[in-house]
Amino acid sequence: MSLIAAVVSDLTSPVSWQDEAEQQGGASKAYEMAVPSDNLSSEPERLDVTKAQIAKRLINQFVEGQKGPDVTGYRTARQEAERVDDTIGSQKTTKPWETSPVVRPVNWTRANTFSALQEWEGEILAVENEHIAVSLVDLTARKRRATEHTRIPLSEINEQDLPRLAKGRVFRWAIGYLRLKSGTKKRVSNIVFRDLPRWTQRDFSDAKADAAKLLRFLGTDGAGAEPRDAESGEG
Amino acid sequence: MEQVQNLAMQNPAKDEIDVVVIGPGFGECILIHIGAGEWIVIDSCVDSSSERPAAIVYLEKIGVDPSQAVKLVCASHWHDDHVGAMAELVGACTAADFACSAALSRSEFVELASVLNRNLSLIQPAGPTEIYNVLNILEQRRQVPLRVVANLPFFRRPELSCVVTALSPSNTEFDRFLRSATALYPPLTTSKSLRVPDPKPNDLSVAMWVTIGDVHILLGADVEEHGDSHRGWSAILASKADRTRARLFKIAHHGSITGHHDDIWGIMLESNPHAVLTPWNRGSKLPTAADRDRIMSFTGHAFATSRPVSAREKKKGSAVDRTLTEANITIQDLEPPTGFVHFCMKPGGPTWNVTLSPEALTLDKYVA
Repeated sequence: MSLIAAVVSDLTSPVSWQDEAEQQGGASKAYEMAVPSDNLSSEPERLDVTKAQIAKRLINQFVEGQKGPDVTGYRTARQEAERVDDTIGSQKTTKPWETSPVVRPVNWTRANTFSALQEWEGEILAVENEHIAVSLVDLTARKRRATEHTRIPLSEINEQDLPRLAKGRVFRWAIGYLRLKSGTKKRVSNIVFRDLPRWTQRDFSDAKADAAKLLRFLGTDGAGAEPRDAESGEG
Repeated sequence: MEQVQNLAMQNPAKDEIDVVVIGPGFGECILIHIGAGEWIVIDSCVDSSSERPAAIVYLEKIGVDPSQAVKLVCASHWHDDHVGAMAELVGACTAADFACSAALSRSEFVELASVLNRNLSLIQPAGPTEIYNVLNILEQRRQVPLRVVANLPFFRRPELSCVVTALSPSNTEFDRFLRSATALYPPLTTSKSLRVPDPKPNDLSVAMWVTIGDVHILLGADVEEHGDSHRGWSAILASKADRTRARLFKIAHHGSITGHHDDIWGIMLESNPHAVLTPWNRGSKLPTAADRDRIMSFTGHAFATSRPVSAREKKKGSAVDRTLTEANITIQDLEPPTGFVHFCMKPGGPTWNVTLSPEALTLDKYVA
């Protein structure tokens, strides 16, 4: 019989559950734990906390029973370590290997982070021998259009982007601080040329569909609101 | 040359005619007080310090509520420099009609704008997207735009004796634009990483004749001359029936030679009229020295809304500047502060009172 089947067999036996629950001083249920049943199409049985504790104990018993002669040497080494600990004076009431493993949450903040001091969106106006001439929209200043120009040395462009430089190419440029996981802080400048999808006939037909509602309102296609005359009737 | 003062911004009197021409070196916006606290706004540009519509910034500074006072917003055409933040302006002017060339509500343009609206990079041409957003705002309000065609008045205020009449585009220009609209689509199989080229033709530019009582104002927008009697200024001059003459001229196309026609000055304007232009400070700058001299030969009352500022180094903060210095990079700021010229005509007054913002200047001082 498999481990799971054995545990389920013990847990789902009404006599054994009742006895165990009484020994545990009554049950109560902060939450339920699902146990898979043999019949995969039915809802798994729901067990309460008391039963979860019982399951844990039974599993530990099963595991202990499966251990072979090597366990003896392992236990001896552990006992030696305990004596050293006892000598030092630390009183450990439980040993780490006797409790369930604790899952610690991953520290997602321990990753590289970038905080931008200045960002632009830009367009290449010309590709020269050692520079690109660009116009820039200052995003940090919340500008709505290009109000700045400059020439950027090709040495500032990533190598893989150099073959793709062309007049009209749009890019993003950010200057800021990069903080590494190790805590190091570096000032960086990063120019990114995004490869956006190409214009397709589908774009045009979708845009036409979007415009259709507006055109119906404008009455351009002979339907919808009546257009006003060029002579306003105001006043 | 009249006494030109620095501008003390204030709300005009109810019977005064005020014309404020705003031009930051990229873009233009014209506000006209037509009387009784009512304003009309022609075109829109972005105020360089606040990044908001320049018209809204000006009106708020003189204590005018744009949501009540503005009765008409008109886009002379759809190029970026004439519709900067236009959607935000229309959104704020809830009591205003919106007028534009009839071609901009045709399917050829609306579908083109819808395509370009799908690539929302800030570096892309914004003109079609702004008009598209304006039309969507109007659709939400269930407010159909006023469709402007040549030689028809499109805005009237009889109690103020105010009429605004479109002088262009001609039928030929209208048809030319609709036929060429498909050429403005981004080519299939090109990447959206590439900026869509700026659309060039000014075929749809709407020149306007504004009449308030016995005062006439000619707004030239970006109309150009092609030597074709069916297009540009030749078509306008051929169709202008009456002989009234304007006292104030917003010079066409940033004062360029392509926006010039001798008969504008000889037939459409009074002798020695007041004239104002908005410079173009990108690429091939306008006006050139020759343009300045030509305009000065027609009038001694010419003004520019901003100075020809050469690109100046822009500082970004010590850490960013250190990075730029290490890479031998200098950021050049192309945009001068937003300036404007203010013309005021009091009732029965013989001429305009002119005041200039600190950034504006008389054209004779403009060093191209």
